[in-house]
Amino acid sequence: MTNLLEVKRAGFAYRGQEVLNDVSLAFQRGEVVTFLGPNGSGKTTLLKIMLGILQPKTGTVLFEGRALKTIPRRDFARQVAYVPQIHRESFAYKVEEVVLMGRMPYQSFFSAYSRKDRDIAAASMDRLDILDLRDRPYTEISGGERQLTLIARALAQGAGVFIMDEPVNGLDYGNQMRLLSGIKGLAAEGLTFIITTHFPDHALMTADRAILFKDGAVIADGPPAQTITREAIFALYRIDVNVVSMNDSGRVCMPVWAN
Amino acid sequence: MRRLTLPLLALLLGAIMLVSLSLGKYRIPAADLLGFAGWKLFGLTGPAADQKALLENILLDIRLPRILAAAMIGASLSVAGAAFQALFINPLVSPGLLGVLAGASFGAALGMVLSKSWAMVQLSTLAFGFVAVGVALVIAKAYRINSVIMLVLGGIISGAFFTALLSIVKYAADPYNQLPAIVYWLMGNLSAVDCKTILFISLPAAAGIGVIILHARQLNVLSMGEEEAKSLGINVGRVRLIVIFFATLISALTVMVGGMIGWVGLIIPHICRMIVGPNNEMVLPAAALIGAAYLVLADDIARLLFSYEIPTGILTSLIGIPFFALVLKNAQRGWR
Amino acid sequence: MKVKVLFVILFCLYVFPLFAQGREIIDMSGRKVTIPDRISKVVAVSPPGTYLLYAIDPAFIAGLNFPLWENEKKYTVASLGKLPVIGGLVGQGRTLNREVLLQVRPDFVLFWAWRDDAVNRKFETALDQLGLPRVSVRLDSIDDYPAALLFLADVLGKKERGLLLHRYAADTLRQAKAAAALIAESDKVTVYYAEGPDGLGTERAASLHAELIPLAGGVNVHQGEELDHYGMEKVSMEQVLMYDPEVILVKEKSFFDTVFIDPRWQNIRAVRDRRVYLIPYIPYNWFDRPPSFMRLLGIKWLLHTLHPDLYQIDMTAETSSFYKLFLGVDLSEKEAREVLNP
Repeated sequence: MTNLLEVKRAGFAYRGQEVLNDVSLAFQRGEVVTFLGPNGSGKTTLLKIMLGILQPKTGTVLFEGRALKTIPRRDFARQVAYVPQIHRESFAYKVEEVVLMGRMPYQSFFSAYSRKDRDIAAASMDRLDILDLRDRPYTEISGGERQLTLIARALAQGAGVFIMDEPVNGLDYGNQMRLLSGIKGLAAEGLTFIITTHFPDHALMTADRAILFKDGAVIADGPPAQTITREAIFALYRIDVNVVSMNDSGRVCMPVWAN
Repeated sequence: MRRLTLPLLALLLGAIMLVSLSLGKYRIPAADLLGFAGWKLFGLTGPAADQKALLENILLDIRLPRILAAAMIGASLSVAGAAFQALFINPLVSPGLLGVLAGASFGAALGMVLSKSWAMVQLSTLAFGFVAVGVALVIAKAYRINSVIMLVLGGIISGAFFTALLSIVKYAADPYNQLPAIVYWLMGNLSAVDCKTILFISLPAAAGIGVIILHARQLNVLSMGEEEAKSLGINVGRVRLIVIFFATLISALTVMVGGMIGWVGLIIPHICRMIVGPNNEMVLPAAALIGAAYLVLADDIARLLFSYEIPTGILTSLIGIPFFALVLKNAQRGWR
Repeated sequence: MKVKVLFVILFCLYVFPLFAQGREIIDMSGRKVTIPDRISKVVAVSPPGTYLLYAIDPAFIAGLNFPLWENEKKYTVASLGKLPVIGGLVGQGRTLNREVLLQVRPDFVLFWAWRDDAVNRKFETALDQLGLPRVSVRLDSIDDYPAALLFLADVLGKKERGLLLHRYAADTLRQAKAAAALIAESDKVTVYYAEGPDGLGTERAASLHAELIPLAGGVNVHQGEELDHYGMEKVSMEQVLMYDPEVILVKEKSFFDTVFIDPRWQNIRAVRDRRVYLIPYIPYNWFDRPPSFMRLLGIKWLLHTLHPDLYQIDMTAETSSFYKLFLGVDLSEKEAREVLNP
C-alpha cells in the first residue's frame, strides 16, 4: 500500500541557515498527527513543503506515490486542504464568501459559483455550527469563529487531508477545546489531520501520533503516550515536567515548578 | 437587489453619458438636439444640412470622443486600483504602485521633447509605463523573494527613479514651448482627445478591464494571502503577472490619453466596496461603471465651469483627497 | 521723448568721459552702472536679451541660456553653438549657473525680467554678489525694441549699427500702426492663436504674448486681461468653435500638420477657408515665445497675412532684406520662401 503522503530526505534552508535537515516521514490515511517542537524547529517549514508552498532544497514529497511537483495545483487542492494560522485580515468578505473560496479548485475559469457549490459551503458551515455567521463580515467575528470559518473552507474544499498550522493559536480555552473536539469528531469520519501545535497536552488529547522536532530534525515519532515523555519535553523546551497519567482520561503534562 | 446593482449602475452610466453629450460650452437648443437624434437614430428629416454638419461635428467629433475617453480612463484606473488593492492586500494602494504612472509620465515628457509626432509621444508613454513596472519586477526578483513587500519596494524605487528622470526632462525642455506643454499634460486633461485615439485605445482598454474582471475570484483568494491562495489551487505567480500586466496596460493607456488623472484609482474602489461589499466579483465591474461615471462627471465640470479649461486631473485630486480623508475611518474598520 | 532723453544722457556720457576705470552709464531702468570702457563679452540672463545682443553683434555673446534648438542653428553664426550654456532667468527650467558665469567673466550682465517680483529680486541680489555690473534693458513690449536696440548698441560701442536697427524698428512700428489705423473696425480679422501640440492653448487679448495681433489689424478672439504671465491658457474645442475665428495662427508645427485632418477642427471658419498659418520660427519665432527682434518682421508678415489686399508687400524680398540687416545673412529667394513657410 502506498503512503498517503511521504516526505523523503527533505532539507531546507533560509538564507543559508539550515532549518530542515534530511527529514523523512510517511503518513497514512485517517491518522491524526501532531508536530511538536520549539520555535524555529522546522515544523511549519515542513508543513509548507508538504503543501507545495515551499520547494525543498533537497529531497522530495510524494502524494499517493506521485511526486508533488508533478501534481497540478488544483488537483492537489481537492485532496489536501490547508488551514493557516489566523492571519492578518484582508478585506471584509462575508463568512460565506470565505468558505466558498474552498470551491475554487472546482471552478472552471468562466463559471460562477454554482448552486451545488453554495450548498456544499452551507453544509460545511452547518457542520461546524457557524451557519448563522454566513452573512457576517469575516473581519468582525471572533478569532475562534474565524478559525472555524477556515476549517469550514477546508471542508468545502472536499479534501481528505487537513494540514493545520497552530490552529488553537489566539483562541481562548473554551474555543481551543471546542476546536480540538471538532477535529477529533472529523477524524472519526476518516479525515486525516496533520497539525502543528505548541501544546504537548493537545497532542496527548487528540493525536494518534506525535512527531517531535528539534533543530530541523525528527527526534521522536510515535503514539503520544510513548513520545511525549519527561525527557523529550525537556529536550524540546528545557522545561521539567511530570507527565501524569489520569484515570481513564489520558495523560497531561504538569510542570515540576507548579507543584 | 444585489442582482440588480450592476445593471442599475450601467443604466446610470449611460444616462450620465447621454446628459454629458448634451452639455457643452457651445449651447445647442434642446429641439436641435432632439431633431439631430431623430435624424441620426431614426432617419427623420431633422435640422437643415449645414446645421446637421455643425451638430455632427460638435456632438460626434468633439464631445463624444471626450466622454468616451473620460469613461474609459475612469473605468481603467478604478479597475486597476481595485485589482492592485486585492493583489497587494492593502486598500490604500493605487494603480501607480509599481511605477506605471511615473514611467508613463516620463515617457510622455520625453516624447514631447524628442519627437514632433503625437503618435510617437503616445508610444513612448505606453512603452515607459511598461518599462517602469518591468524595473519594479526585476528589482523584486533580484532579491529572489517573490513577496508582495519586495514588489511594493521595487515599485517605490522604480517610481522614484522615473520621477527623477521626469525632472531631468523637464529641466532640459524648452521653457517657452515644451515645458508648459509637459506641465499641463501631467496635470491631466482630456482636451486633446480625438476619435482616432479613442478607436486605437478602446480595444486594449476593454480587453484589459475584461481580463482583470475575469480574475475577480482569483483576486479574492489572493487577497487572503499568497500561501492560502496556493493551497486553494491558484497559480499565484501566473495570476499575479497577468493582473499586473493588464493593470499596467490600462493605466499606461490612461496617461497616454489624458495625462495624470489622480486619485480615481484609490477612491472609486472604496466607494464600490461601500456599495457592493468587498467581493471582487462585484467590486471590479462596479468599479468600472462607477469609475467611468465619476470621471465623465468630473470632466463635465472641468469643461463647463470656466471659460478656460481646468485640468481634469486637478479636479479629481481636489474631489478625491477630502473624500479619502472622510472615508479613511471606514477603510480602517474594514481592513485592520 | 524717452528716446531723446536717453540720447542726451548718453551724449553727455560721451562728451565727459570718466577718467576712472570704466565709465558710468544709466541703464534703461534708470540705474547708474559702472561698466568697463571697452566691452567685449556680455551675458544676457534671458533669451530675449541674448537675441538682442545677437542683432547688434553676435561676437559679444559670451554664453547661452540654453543649448541651441534646431531652428536656432539656421542662419545664425556657427560659433554660437560652441559657447558655454550658463542658464538664465527663464521662469522654469535651467537656472543660472553662477560659477560658469564667473568663469566666463562677462564685462557686464544684460538683465531683463518681465516683471518685478520676489524671485527676480533675489536673482538680482545674487547677481550683484558676483561683482558683475548689471545693465537692465526694457523689452516688455515690441514698442520697447527701437530704444533697446539703440541703447544696447551704444553701450557696446556700435552706435552706427544701433541707429540703423533703430530706424528699421521704429519705421516698421510706425508703418504698421499707420496701416492698421486705416483698417476699418469691421474689416479687422478675428484671430485665434493656437499654441501647444493640440492647438488648444492660447493667450488673452491683453497678453504681451499676443501683442502683434492688434498691431496687425487683427482681433484676438480670446478677450480679457492676462491671467498670469505664463500664459498658454487652455480652452476647449467648443470654445474655439464658438469663437469661430477667421484666421488661426499656429505655433507648433505638429498641430499645423493635423489641423486640416482632425475632424474636430473642420467646422471652424479659418479651417474651412484654409486661413490657418504656421508662424515662421527661423531662427527665432516671429511672433512670441521667446520674444525677439524677429517680431519686427513678424508684424509685417502678420499684416500681410491678415490683410493681403490692404497691405501689399513682397514678403520674400522683405524677408531677405531683414535677414541681411539683422542677421547678416544673404537669403536666396528659395531660402526666403522656405523661411516664410517652414
